[in-house]
Amino acid sequence: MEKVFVFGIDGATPELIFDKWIDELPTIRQLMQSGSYGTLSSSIPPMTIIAWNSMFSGKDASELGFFSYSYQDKQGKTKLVSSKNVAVKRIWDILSSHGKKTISLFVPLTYPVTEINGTMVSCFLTPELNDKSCYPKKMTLKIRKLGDTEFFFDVGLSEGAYKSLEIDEILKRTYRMTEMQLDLLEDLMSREKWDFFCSVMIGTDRLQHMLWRHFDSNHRRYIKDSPYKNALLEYYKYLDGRLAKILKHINMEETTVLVVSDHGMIRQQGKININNWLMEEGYLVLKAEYKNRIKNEKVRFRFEAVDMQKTICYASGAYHARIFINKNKVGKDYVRIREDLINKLKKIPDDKGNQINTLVYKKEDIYKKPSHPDCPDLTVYFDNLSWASNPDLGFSGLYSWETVVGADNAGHSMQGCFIISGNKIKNRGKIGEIDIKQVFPTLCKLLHLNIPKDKANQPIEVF
Amino acid sequence: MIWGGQMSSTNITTISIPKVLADKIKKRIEGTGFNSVSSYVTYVLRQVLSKVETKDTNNKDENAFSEKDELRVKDRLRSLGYLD
Repeated sequence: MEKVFVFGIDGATPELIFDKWIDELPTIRQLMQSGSYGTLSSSIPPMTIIAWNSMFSGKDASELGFFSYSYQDKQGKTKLVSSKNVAVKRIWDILSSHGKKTISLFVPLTYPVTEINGTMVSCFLTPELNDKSCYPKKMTLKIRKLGDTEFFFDVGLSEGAYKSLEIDEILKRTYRMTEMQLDLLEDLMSREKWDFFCSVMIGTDRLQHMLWRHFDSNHRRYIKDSPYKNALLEYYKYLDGRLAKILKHINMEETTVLVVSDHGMIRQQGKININNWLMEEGYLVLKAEYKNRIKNEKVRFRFEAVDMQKTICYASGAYHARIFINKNKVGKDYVRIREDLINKLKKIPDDKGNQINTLVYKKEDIYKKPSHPDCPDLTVYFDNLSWASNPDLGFSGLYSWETVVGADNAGHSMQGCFIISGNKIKNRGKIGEIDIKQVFPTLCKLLHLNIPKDKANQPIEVF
Repeated sequence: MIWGGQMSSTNITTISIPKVLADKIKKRIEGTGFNSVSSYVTYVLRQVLSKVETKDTNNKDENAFSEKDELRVKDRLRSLGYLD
């Protein structure tokens, strides 16, 4: 019998895992040394909910059916995405139809949970522990026994600004959340039958956004001798230690183990106020009420602020920029205007006037379903994402350190981690970069499911 | 609800299906995790019923979140800087 265990570490960064801290992470190092590993090219954009679902379905964002955390409903109201927005089958759906059992824990965009052959506990997009967060429902009772569930799914307070929380408090909550999640994981792993077991730890992402400048001496805002300089490493070590315990429950003769991340992290140089730039260039016009409002206050960007009678394009997106061109306004000039825009975007310098390496993707070049109504016309990575995009309004000039909700000091990067080890896996050591969509056919191969015919996304060559 | 192959005898009943169909199912489940025709039929029927029961609700515009819950998660996401 073939079994697969996926240990997902959100935002785990190749430079830290494979190089800088490898000697401090013996469990991960052992898996790397016994199997194959390499950097994983994330989804476009490298956003948590898109990347993990791309990994578990082999599809891009346009096929998945969402491009961000929000979408417009039929009434034009901005709503939060959920598992109902996922337009494709994910691996546990396919395994269920083959009578194989899955345990899926904390995989982003699984709330509300769906009925699968096995067990599912939802993700950080869960409002609270309830019947829609667990399948079967009786799992809620098991989770309540673990302790106070306020931070079981995520560390942020709904009322408070996470980015302004004290680091000690963030750390305390992150450890508590992770401890409960891993206690549940170990319990299910040792008691339940499964063919496929996947889990995603979100704590790394939360801590990296906050702690990067405490250990990275090349960071613009590096804090020398910070009391938190080892805090992220200690958390990784904690995860590594728990992974060692988890692996003791696994029969490695019949199980392939993957340690993967959805994207990496990159030190942030600052933020480019993209909608300020679009306004200065004459592309974006705000409604009068917003023009007045932003004179006195900073305002989270929202579509309602845009005067669509006068606007050529506007931008949304955190870290990357998603640019939407107003087709009603540009008409037949769409192609010309888009090309002009691309050229101008690539020329935006950093705050010191230096040229930066900005990537601009056209929708038809990166997506299989570019006609999706929510699909951005352009996706922009400023300086390989080391400069984040800030779509918010009311900021002065082109550069800022914060958005309306606060500052962080690292953003998502394009490269995540991929490690695979098991009896069926060749010991190839470091392999070339793989695409995140190749993980799905690799899992299919391991679990004896049909491998998709898409030639671009075939199983990773580790067999 | 229990998945095929794990039902206790006190909770099951017998349903007749054409033998030809049963034979087809036997072939279908070869090499899969379904260990009997009954477990496969149970799986298929549960899928069908689930779809029927959620026919009008299984689309993205149906409320996955109550208003209060959506606000709660949105606030949390905004505080993380993720919500556009």
